[in-house]
Amino acid sequence: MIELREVSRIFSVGGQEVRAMDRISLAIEPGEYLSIMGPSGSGKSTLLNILGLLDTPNSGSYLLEGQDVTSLSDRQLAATRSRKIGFIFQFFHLIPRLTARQNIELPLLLAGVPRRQRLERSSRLIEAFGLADRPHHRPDELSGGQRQRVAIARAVINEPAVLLADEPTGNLDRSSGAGIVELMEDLNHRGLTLVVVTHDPEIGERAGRQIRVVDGRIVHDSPGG
Amino acid sequence: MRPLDVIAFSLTSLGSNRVRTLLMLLAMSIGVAAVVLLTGIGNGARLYIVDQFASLGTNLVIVIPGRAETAANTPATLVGETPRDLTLDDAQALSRGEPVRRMAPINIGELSISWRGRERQVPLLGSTASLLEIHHLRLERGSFLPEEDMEIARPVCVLGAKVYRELFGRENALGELVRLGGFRCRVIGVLGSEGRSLGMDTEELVVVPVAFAQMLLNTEGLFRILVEARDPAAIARLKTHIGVTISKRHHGEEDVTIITQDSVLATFDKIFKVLTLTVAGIAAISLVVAGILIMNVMLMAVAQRTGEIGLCKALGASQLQIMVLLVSEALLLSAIGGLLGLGLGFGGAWAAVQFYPDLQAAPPPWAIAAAFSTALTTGFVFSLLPARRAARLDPIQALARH
Repeated sequence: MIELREVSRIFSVGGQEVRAMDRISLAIEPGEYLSIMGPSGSGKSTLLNILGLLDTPNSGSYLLEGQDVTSLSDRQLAATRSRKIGFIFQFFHLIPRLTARQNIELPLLLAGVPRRQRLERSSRLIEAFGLADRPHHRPDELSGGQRQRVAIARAVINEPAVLLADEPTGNLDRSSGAGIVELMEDLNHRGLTLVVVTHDPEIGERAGRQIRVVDGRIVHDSPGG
Repeated sequence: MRPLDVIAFSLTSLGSNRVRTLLMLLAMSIGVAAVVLLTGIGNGARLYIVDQFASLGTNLVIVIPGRAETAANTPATLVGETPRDLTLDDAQALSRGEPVRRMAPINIGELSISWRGRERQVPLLGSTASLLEIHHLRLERGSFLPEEDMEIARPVCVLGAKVYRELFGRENALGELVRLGGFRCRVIGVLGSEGRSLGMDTEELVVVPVAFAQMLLNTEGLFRILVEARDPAAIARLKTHIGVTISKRHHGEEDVTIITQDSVLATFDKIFKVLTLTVAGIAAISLVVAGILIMNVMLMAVAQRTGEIGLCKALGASQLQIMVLLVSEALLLSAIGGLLGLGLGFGGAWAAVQFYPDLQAAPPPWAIAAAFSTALTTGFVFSLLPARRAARLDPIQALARH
């Protein structure tokens, strides 16, 4: 479903070329649970950004559900992100002035989905994610775990093909983190492809497939136990 | 994104920083209010002048003895000769013509008037019965000058409202004999208090038959002759008629100046239109200043909301959508500020009318439309730069800075 072929991403920092991704090839099957680990600066976030269409490679090709997405226009990229990709961030990135429900509905709002449908879909997720008593609270009135639940609900409300998570538990205490991991794994069990970038081996090792990135290259790719 | 959703989203964004929003609304509304109020006052002044002219009679042609453009340079002026007078016979001749509706000869001077020991100086106006219609005068009581041959020097007079009050107080004046110069004459009417009518305070006037005025002032000539055309289309024919008649009577010389009411009116109208446009332009500058304020504040807002913009992009917003969102915010601000400004401007115009009822300060429709659309345009134009900057933000960096 996701296929990277010889993808490189080169940044120039202070006149020097830095190869954040060095001819990486990677195929991810539908429904897979993949963790990306590696030291800081190894290129795992760049890999995630490329997968999430936030960044475009300098060379190589990227096929998402059979479609080459390396040469799409801004508008096409935005539309593809909207339909096929869900993001979860370490710092949640909720809009402070919007309520939990409004934050969850934001991707549908941007996609021009009518209000009634938005309400229907967000209600279902609010119920399923244990936020039923907090739909009208603003982010600063929610706990860290609740904020990340809102963020996950937002990421999946468009029913994307793949969920990309960048250090989803990095800003949470242990028990909230465990709850978030369970929630994501539950979504994966229902068929959603899940890619998690993490520093935390405890989380990384739960994934069905683990890859390790060092200096822009995949140095280890194995099914986990 | 649906238009209603865009508006709702923009409103939450405007509502999240109330002080900033209020300041921008204030700037916008003051700009729009200034345009509306100043054009209203300018327009009021124009209407006031037009009204003054209209009160003098609309299809009016004024005949003045002597040629204005040549009189100063003729040998006659050097040897102290005045141009040939207009006489009652001239007036009589002018009134006979197809384009003429009404005619009133005018003589003016100043005399003392007295009644039972009360005396004052008054401007005297000699004319005929048709002056009432031509000059749009209103009679408070009694009757105006009698309709009769204008050669008859009947000793009657019509008093201006103020003259009447000062001489008679609250007593009845009709039928009373007053002393006017060296003659006694009977009061037959009192004019209404209309105030000024282009240079003449009708309240202070005493009107008498034209022949009687000539006797009182000891003159043969007339100050001028007012001729009213049958309709606006007849004005040109009337001017020819006057020229031909006068030159026939004055041995081939057309030694009069003919002034049409509408040419003077048109000049004033033009001057005031230009003045109104000028003040509107000056006021519009404040709108541009408001636009720059909007741009400034929006640039700050884009910097503050970098994370939000990056997030929207990650969630599937295109560059165009980000631009639409930010420009809508500015347009919404301008529209609300513009409406507030219209309210303020009309309030100000209303207040101006309360203080100066003579000045009917009504903002012209074009000014309202222009002020409002200038507000929207400045909002639009000055939000483009910040919106473009936002749209081009790199989502990864934007999210990282959050």
